Amino acid sequence: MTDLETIAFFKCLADKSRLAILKSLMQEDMYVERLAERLGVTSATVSFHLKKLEEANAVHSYRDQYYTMYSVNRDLFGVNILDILGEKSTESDLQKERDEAYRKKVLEAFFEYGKLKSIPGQRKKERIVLEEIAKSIESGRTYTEKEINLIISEFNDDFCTIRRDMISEGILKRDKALYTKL
Amino acid sequence: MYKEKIEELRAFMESSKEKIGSKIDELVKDGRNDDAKAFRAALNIYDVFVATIGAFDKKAKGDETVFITAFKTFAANIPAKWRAALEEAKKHNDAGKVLIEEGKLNSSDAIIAKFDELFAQEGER
Repeated sequence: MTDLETIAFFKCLADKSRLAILKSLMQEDMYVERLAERLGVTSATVSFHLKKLEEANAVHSYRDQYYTMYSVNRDLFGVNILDILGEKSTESDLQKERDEAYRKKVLEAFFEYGKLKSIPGQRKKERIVLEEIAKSIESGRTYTEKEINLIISEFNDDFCTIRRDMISEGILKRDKALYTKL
Repeated sequence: MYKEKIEELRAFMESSKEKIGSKIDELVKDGRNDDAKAFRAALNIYDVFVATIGAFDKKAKGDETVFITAFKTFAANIPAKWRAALEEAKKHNDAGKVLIEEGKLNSSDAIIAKFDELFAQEGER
């Protein structure tokens, strides 16, 4: 477990509703509605907490006929806390974690359901956003401008600005009206 | 009569706000901070409606029909956006947003129901 994962995990546990869900799941695997009925809260509330628990890797889900069942990740809870505290992190690991956390935060702020809400004003943030869009462009393949525009327009209508910015950021290369990912 | 109805609507909203405020305090004390977020969203909606109703009342200058029309237009448009946001969130399995949008809609539905009860025309009752 990295330091950030450890923090996320303990933060996730520091909520009485989530603790109640985990205690219920310790008895048996359950689906959302059953947990909601048992704990006297809405299904939306349970889904929200389960998503957080899943992100922290504290629970797993699996399909069982019509239901999505949830179970406690017993492997994770079986880890000795002293072992976690004994793990050493180098400065480069920590920096990598901080960068990744920042990147995630920027993407969450600017993307909603896979669409880019707006182009960030700050260059550092825009770079992250452009790199994310560039994941949809294959490396080593040559694209026409129309093809590139189509890919970018899946994210945002302002494909001209994004395409030009990708070139100025060195993410894309334009050569005789053809584009390749760098 | 018109003023009395508005006062009753305001009193309803104030009492609902108090109840939600107490619920938030209770949840926070109980270590359920995330659950409290949905109630905070619900509480904000009461503030939005209190301010809007105040503005409509001022604009209506005692004319109940003007007030009813303004409120009904608002009540049809704004929650529709939240409902659309809720459907979008459900479609994308965004549990956090579903919780918030449901909280907002619970508040607006309660206020609109109270409004309908108070301002229903004789024939509608």
